Amino acid sequence: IEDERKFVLGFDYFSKLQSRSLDSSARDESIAWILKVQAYYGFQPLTAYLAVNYMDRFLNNRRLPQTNGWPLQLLSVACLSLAAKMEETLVPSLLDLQVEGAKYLFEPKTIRRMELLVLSILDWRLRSVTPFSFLSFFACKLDTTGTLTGFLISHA
Amino acid sequence: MEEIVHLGIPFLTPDQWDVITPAYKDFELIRSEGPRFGDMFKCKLKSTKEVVAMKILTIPEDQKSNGIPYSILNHVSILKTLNHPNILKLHTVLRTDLDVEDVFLVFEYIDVSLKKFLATPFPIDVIKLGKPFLRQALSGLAYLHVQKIIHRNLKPNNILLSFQNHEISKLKLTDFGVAKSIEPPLSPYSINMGNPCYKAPELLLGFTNYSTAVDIWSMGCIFAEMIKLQPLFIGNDGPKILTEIFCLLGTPTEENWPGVASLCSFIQAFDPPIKPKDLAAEFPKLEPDGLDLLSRMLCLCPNSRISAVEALEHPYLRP
Repeated sequence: IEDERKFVLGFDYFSKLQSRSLDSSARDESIAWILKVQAYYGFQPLTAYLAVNYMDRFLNNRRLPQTNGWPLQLLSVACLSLAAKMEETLVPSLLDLQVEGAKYLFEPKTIRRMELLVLSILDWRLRSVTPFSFLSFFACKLDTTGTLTGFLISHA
Repeated sequence: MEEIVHLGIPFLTPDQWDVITPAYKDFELIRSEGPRFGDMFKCKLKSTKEVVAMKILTIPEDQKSNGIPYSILNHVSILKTLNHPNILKLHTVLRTDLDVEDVFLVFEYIDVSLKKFLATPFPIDVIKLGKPFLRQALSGLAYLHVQKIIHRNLKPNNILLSFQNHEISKLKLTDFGVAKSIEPPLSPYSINMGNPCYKAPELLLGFTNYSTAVDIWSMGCIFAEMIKLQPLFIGNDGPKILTEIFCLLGTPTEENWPGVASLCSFIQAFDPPIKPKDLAAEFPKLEPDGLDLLSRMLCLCPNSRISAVEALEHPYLRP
């Protein structure tokens, strides 16, 4: 249980979002993009959830050089790529992942290095316990896709 | 299948040396696990003189276009969640300059692998070590299985020991390179990893929906190896090992392994089935309780095989 602290955000994260240090509308945009790619490739909801979890934990620890624009897009791609590799059996290549109106296109090498940076900030803790672990436990037979996506958006 | 162990200075690239030489010294290769899994070497932290073990994971050139491969993400993120006295502790993942894309893992250092120990003529009664060995190995395994992780590659090389007064003071399971976390959704699992000698029959028969029971089988083989001082099943490939298993334990039947014939039709060719041998005759030095536990760990049907938690409660292991 003590380990849980390593997976959660600082209490001040949402107040940081509301203040200037993080751009919450840029974050919304990133999440919208992640959800679009999730739908495009038919990823599980958990994949998108994890990607957002990685992104929030990163932003909680590090400031990007700009709070919107390419750094945040690069972060989104890296987080989605990591989440997809952890959860999906078929993962598109790094170039194919950048679909659905991605504003910037990054080279695999750039994303790979961003992945390494994200991993070191997250201390390689990728196996977050998510609401999905409990949901699949209690309600694996229900089709929860719709409600979960709704939860993600409302969370954003 | 012998792993080559060449002692000496590990073979690293200049970039890799640049990362570690500022803080570490006295490098010495301890285990080579093939190019895919990287070498394990020992070294000393300059600041505290602490001896640690280090392993470098490299992204294969042909996988670089997909970023950090799943194998590395899985390996390190599993290690990060584990915290148990019978599992080799990952101290840290070194932070490197982004120009170096290798992953440097720093572990606690434990001196000898079971494989090395069994190969050395120690003046120790191995039978006496059987109980403390199994107790510690199974508590590590029980912990892993509760965390829903299958090790999938248990063998004497991956069990590290340290001794004090001729008794095992520490036992640590290591090498989670092909470990797998069992979480839904369950996709078919790969059956190609691991040394065939320690592979469970369901893996050798090609079942892809196996579970934690495969680790218990491997541990049973390892326990038997400690008693016999040689591997229980010897062979280079799956079919040879399967034959050895059937010769010792008999062929599975619908009675002792429901469903085996429908999944594996060639089993029916053994008619009448091969009878199991008497384990007591094979292991004359082992006491009856030990024989009973061994036979439960080497139960052909994975669903009837004893679990790690149950095995810890077995009369043989009760204090």
